[in-house]
Amino acid sequence: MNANGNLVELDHLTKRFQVKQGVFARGKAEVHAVEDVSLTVRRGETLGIVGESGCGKSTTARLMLRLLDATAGKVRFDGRDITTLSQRQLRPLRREMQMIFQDPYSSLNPRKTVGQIVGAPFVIHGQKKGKVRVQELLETVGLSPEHYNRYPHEFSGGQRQRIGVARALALNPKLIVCDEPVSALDVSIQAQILNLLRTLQKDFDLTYVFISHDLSVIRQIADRIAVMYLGRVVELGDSESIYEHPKHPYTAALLSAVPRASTGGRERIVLSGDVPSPVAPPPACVFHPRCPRFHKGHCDVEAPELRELAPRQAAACHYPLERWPMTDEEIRQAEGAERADRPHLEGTVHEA
Amino acid sequence: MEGTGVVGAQGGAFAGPTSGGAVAWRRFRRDRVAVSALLGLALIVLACFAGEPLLAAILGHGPDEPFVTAVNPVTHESVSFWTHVSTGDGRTLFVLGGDGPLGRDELLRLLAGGRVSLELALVATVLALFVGVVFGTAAGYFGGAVDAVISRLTQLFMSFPLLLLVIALGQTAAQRFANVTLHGLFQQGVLALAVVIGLFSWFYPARVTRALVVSLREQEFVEAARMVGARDRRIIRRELLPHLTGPLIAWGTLVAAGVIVLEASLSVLNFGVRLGTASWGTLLAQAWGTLLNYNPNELGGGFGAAPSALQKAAPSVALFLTVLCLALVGDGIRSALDPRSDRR
Repeated sequence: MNANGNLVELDHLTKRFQVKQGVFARGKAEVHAVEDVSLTVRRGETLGIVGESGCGKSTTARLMLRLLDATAGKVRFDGRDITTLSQRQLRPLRREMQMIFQDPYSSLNPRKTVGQIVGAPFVIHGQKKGKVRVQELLETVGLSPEHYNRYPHEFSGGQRQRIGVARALALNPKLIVCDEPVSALDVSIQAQILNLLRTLQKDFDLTYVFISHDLSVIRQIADRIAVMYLGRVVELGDSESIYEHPKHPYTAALLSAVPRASTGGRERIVLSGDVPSPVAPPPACVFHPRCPRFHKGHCDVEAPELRELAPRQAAACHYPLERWPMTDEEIRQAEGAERADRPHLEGTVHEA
Repeated sequence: MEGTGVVGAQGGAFAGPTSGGAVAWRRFRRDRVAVSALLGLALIVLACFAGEPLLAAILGHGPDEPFVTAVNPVTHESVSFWTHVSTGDGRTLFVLGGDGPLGRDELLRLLAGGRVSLELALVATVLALFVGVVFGTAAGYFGGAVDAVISRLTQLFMSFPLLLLVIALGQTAAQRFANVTLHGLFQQGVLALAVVIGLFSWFYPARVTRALVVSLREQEFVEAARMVGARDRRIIRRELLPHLTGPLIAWGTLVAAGVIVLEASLSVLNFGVRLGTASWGTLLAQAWGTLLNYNPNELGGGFGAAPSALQKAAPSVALFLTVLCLALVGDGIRSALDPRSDRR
């Protein structure tokens, strides 16, 4: 059942939301939140999902955990197809996959004590000795067991996030999806929480899916990275490979935005234009309106598939980057200078 | 503080319970207007529920006992406040308060009337809140068709003139249940009227509950509860209802105030509590006349006394004070629950 070592498999997963237009709803528009996403998460690893706000990362995570129902595609957990299971059938599975939420202020019910919040999983699944376990969990995440009777508003953001981690750990899950768990925290606290997560992964043999918009955070914790844009995975590969030689132009733009300590080095690429609306994504390659390597007649006609371009690195691009950092010409075009609008010539070899 | 070392909790200087309710109570205590209104309310309730039976026991007569000799049949004048009156069988009794057309003890009637009005308000408010919260929670949490049906229902009823509906229902359906008194706990017709009024007072709690539930339902802690595997029923009970208890009390006082006034209006119109039973509304009707029979002197069969100024004023003052206290307490609770408001 799980011989191939994959804990989670997403197969051409698609999620579209209906948007009603006007009072009489003449023709429904759809938000293409997640489009044809195929990912695997191996046991014991940390998969990072990176992208701008609104690119579909949180939706993908929720599809993975069946908090949302997919429009198309399959989700497999531990070898088992869970795409169409009912909520009741999913309940026992909820013990094995959990989530840490982004906002430490709204993810804890302000009317419940810490003990009630962290102990809720035990009560729901009918397990006894909740209080003892809760206090052990509080110690594990670095809080004092005396905090059992306190309310969330008495804690700082970092401490609340630890409470969220304790809640996620309660039932010994195999998979924990971390939806931007450190985005709302100060940089110094971020480091503490990331350290905590790393320690827990070792101690409890956890698999993480770590979502963030911040590449510098992802770098510290992810083994493999998936880069998403407008609901699609544009690049997927080992952490090191992606940082050292990104293949997709969008990944390059993201990387260039990461602040670097050294003064020399690459210029920051500012992409021209805005992210298109997910209600009307551009045809074929969704990145082509802003892409410095756009080839007219090809990129706007044929959608690129996610292909393996280097060992353990795949990108969805017809004209992936040949070298990193990018050439000055490419940077200028990315920032909106007149594009070469290179036509696609049949038979031209584009470097892989 | 490195890595995973133990981290202490903030707010160490503040001893004492810090639950939402405790904090709100502390804030409420500091609000002098609200506290005095609460005391006033307690006083009124005490006087009506405990004071009246006590007084009746001391004086030896109830609020409904007529003293024919207390009214001069020729001059239609009644005895004044605090008088000895001799009855037919040779007893002499103190009579507190002036006399109504039938020569009864008006102070006792005022207090007994307060009891009827307050009981009615309590039953109607509890019913209204219960129905309102159930509908509002269902509409807010489940959304979709449930929400559509309940919201349309609410709007439909809210758009009708309330008084007409209550009168219509009161005259037809309530008559059938007028004899339900729960072993004498309520006067005749009071429970039926309370139910009718309650059934038309749930709209405001329903709308406010729905709005609150809709805003709470999108919070991450609800999603977290679902993530852990909680069923809808548990989410509603454990995650959402605790947020409602405080606002419920605040809305309850306002609904109660409205119900008291509504009952008084109905009784003055002669569509509420039966005139024989004392309630603040019927006392007003006795003193001022009802819609159908304006001349108050006719009410007692024509041989009663003209209502004195005290009789005319007393139920109004009682109503005014009760409603004022309820409104102030409700306001005070709302301010206490809202951490952003600051009333000095």
